[in-house]
Amino acid sequence: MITRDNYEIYFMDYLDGVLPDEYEAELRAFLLVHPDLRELLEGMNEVRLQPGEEVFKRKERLKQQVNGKELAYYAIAEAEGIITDEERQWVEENVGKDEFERETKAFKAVRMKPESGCVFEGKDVLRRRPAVIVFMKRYAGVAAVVLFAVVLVMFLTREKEFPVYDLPQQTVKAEVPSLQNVPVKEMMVEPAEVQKKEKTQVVVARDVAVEVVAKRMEPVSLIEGKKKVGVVAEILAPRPDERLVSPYEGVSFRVETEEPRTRSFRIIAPDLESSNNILSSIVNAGRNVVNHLRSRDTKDEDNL
Amino acid sequence: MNRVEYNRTVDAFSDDVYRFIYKMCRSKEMAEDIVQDSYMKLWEDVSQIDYGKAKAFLFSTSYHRMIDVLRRENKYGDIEAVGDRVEVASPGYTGLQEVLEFALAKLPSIQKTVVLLRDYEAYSYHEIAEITGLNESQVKVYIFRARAFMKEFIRRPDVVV
Repeated sequence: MITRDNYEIYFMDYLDGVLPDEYEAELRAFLLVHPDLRELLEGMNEVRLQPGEEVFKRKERLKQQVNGKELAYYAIAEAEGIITDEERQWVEENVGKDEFERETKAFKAVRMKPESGCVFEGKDVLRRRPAVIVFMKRYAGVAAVVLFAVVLVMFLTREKEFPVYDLPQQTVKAEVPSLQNVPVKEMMVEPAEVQKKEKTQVVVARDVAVEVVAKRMEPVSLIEGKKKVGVVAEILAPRPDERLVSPYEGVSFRVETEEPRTRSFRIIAPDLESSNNILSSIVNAGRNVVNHLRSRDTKDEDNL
Repeated sequence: MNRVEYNRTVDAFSDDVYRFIYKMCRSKEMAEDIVQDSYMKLWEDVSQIDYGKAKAFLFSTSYHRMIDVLRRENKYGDIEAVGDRVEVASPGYTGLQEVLEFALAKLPSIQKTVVLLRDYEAYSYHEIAEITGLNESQVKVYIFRARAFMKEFIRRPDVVV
């Protein structure tokens, strides 16, 4: 309901032409009752202000310009190829194309290029290998050292070897004067029946004395071993103090004994004589054999 | 709103805001400072304000900024009497708008504000209410009273003054 307390609101709607029809009739009735307000309402539409010509002269100072840092940021992003679509859109909206391209070109020009010659030498140290290879490589050196040590010990403690011809030997030479009565073609020299291993060379000359050289290879180890263990060295060949009897008349023997080589073996049994081990048994058995042969030789001499 | 849209608001609305404030305070320096402050505030919140609401934001900010400045200066006491600071022009004006401008200067601040927003910027009552913090009915009442005053001023300016 329009009253003198709220008529201004209805008057404004009426002046704006938005007052509903039901209120418009009520407004006309209200104006008939209140002629002073009718007079107030008349000519109200004439009071309309028109915008002036004043302008704000400092517009440019209000605008936010793109500063150098922002431009450099996006130019670097473009040069690095990491600019996003959103950033590119921002550039298109805020920065001139030519200016942005110039900045981008400048940043591309100052990009550093890697020096290919500068490389890291310690790559192998940094690499990671399978556990098996690492294990083998770790212990291969240790194994090599151990193997070298074993070989070195074997070399230093090896028993010196020597060929058969270096074995000590006894040479029995028999100087045989020239046999005037023995025909040459019938002259026959048989080596002394000393032992099967004994090698006897008989050199027969017509005009010179026949020299019978009996050489026997005697293992030095046996001789030295017998010496060290206190066993009497017994040789199968005639000893120097023994007298060789030639089967031929006028043939005599001269025995020369070469000095045995220095010992290069170890003593197996220090007290072989008193021990009852297998070595002493073998020695005793050999001694019996020698005695038997020697007794047989003695019998042969007696027969001769 | 981005930078481009912000700069667009400078071109589109700075004159209107300046004119509105200038009509209110009748001081070019104060109007320029208030406009600048208003745009600074807009730039601070630029990411949170849509371009479509930038104009209302600027008018509202500048209006309240103007009220704060006038109160801080305490130069004229009652803010409603700000129109009195304007020296009365010579009654020898010729055009209607000049008379209305003169009459506008004599209006109370709140009436001046709403009528300026209505006539200059063609804001709706709802928009004016949002800018000034009034309700629509209050806006209509203030506008009607301002127009009534100006109409009376046009008819009998000597009596009104």
